[in-house]
Amino acid sequence: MNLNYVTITTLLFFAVRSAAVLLLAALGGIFSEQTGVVNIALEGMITFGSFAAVAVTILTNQPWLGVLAAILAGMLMAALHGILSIRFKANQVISGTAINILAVALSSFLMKSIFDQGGHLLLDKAPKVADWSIPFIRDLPWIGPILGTHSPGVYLAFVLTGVTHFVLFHTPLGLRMRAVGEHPHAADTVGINVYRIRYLGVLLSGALAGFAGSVLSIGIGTAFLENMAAGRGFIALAAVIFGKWTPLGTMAACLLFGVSEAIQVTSNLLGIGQYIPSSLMATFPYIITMLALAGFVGRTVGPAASGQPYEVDKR
Amino acid sequence: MGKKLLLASLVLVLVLGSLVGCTKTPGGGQAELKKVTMVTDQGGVDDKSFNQAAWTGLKEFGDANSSKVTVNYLESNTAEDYAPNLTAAVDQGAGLVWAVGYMMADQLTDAAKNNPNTQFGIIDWAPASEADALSNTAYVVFKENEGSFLVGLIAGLTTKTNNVGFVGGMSGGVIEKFEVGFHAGVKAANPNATVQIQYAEDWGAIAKGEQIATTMINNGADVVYHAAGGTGIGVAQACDKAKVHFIGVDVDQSELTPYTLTSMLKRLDTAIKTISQDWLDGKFEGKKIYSLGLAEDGVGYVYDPAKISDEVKAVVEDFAAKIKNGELVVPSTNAELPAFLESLKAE
Repeated sequence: MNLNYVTITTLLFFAVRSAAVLLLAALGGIFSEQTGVVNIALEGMITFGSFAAVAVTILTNQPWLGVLAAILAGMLMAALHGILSIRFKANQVISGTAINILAVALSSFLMKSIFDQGGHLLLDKAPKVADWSIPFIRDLPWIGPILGTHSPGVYLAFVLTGVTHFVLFHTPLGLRMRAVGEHPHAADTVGINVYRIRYLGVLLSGALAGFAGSVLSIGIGTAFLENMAAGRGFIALAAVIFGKWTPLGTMAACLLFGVSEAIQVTSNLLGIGQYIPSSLMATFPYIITMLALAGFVGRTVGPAASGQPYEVDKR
Repeated sequence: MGKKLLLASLVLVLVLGSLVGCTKTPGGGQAELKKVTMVTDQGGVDDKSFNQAAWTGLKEFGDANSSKVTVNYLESNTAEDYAPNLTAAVDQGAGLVWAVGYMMADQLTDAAKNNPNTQFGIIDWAPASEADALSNTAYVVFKENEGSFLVGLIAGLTTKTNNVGFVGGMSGGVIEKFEVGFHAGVKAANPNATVQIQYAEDWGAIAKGEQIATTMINNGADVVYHAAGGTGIGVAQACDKAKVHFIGVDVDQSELTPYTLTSMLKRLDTAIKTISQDWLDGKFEGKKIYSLGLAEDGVGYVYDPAKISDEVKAVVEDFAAKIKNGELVVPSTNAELPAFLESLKAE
């Protein structure tokens, strides 16, 4: 074991960072699932968002326009998911899978046709989103190196967790969302527009997942890669389940996954690689999720109507 | 307003994109010309890496023999495209078909069995035993350990902290050759140096690459080499931030950071050019496994006089000469490494 101040703070810095990306996508997952739409398209929304961010940043030289484009790109995919699964009542898992495939293909195609590039697209001379450095906090021992300087998206992920919690559990809109996800017929009879609330939930999830993609490609990174999302959309969903569909629980799950990823990635350098193979450690989030689903953390029950298209005349 | 504008431009981009996408593949040509077609791996022909290097070589071959042969390529966007592309290449009348990448091994074997009158070549893959090799297929593999050894020498001679790092993509596979060759090179040049090794278990994770390299740099490394695909972009980012040396892989990667010391080169272009020429001259050898190292100019390194001093270059060239004439055998597996390191001490 090679543990000292620098090693531990470096490890936790990266843990917080990778947790934040998961968290943004997972918050999106919460909005979607709470309103009753299963969103396994998070992966595709992250991919398309990360591409749009790099593309627009290269074209405009403005990284924040890139972020905006990523959010819109995520919402575009979300709108498609919404139309398919809400308007046309398609199977939500199939629709999501289709979007995951579409997002990768569309990104490669646009990369090819706009930039004449394949495989990856470097920001090159265009700037990435500048890091934020928080005065005072950055000078504190321990906390400074871990939380003092990050890409803005990392801070926003945690701020948005609070916002999501407040909206879902302390506003009329949140109550409506949960009602629609739990019992759409009851919600309908008291005058809530089920379709509109579901579209809102899905679009919000697209915006957040697209934003997560931009954090990956132009917040943390400096390039778009075709395999960039690398399962993060699915791990984010796992975090939602593990966190029992609540923002705060999901945040805890994301932090746990973030720490486990950070340890896995440097397992050899930390001196634990010879005890546990790093490829085995990479499966940790999935094992945790299976344990969670098997009832290890108490009952994990999602919104009752999640996954079911709403049909007015069905009981 | 701003959102509308953006949405409008997004739509415009989509429309324009689909127009630009309709470009035709080069080649075609008259019927009497012989034809060589390469099928790319995923990532496109201009991926600034593998596919591009292969196409460069094939194009040079085509330009040099434009009176006798035409060349073209078929792009694979997903693994599902490999088999149809290989078949299409044969159907379009190619006499020699290149499969660029080990991922196509199974599809190539099928295509070669089904089309005994067409010659095939595959990059980065060979059957485990020569008995399984097909008589109409040439197999090209590279001795990446030799190229990695040379950049390892450069790293060992350049480090001021006597500490260097290696970041691998996936453990338990081909990347071991890069790791072991590099490790051996560093130790040969600088027996006191420490080599930190970590695999990301991921080819496309910039963030992971950055974390690994940052941790290595914190541990004292001042030169970091990678064989980790897109994850290497993160390695370059970390080196850039910490202002320490970065070593690229496969192609010249100096565009990733100004702190690039050198890059280990795999000469796909030379290999494809030479073997295609042999084919055109009627000297094509099927069933043959080409194992290309330094002696065959199959691997190499980028020499930038601004980055690599004359003394360092002299040492590297000295070792390169010994490898070429067989005096020095570079280890390629972790099992061979300890014996090699012992032999260094003995000298």
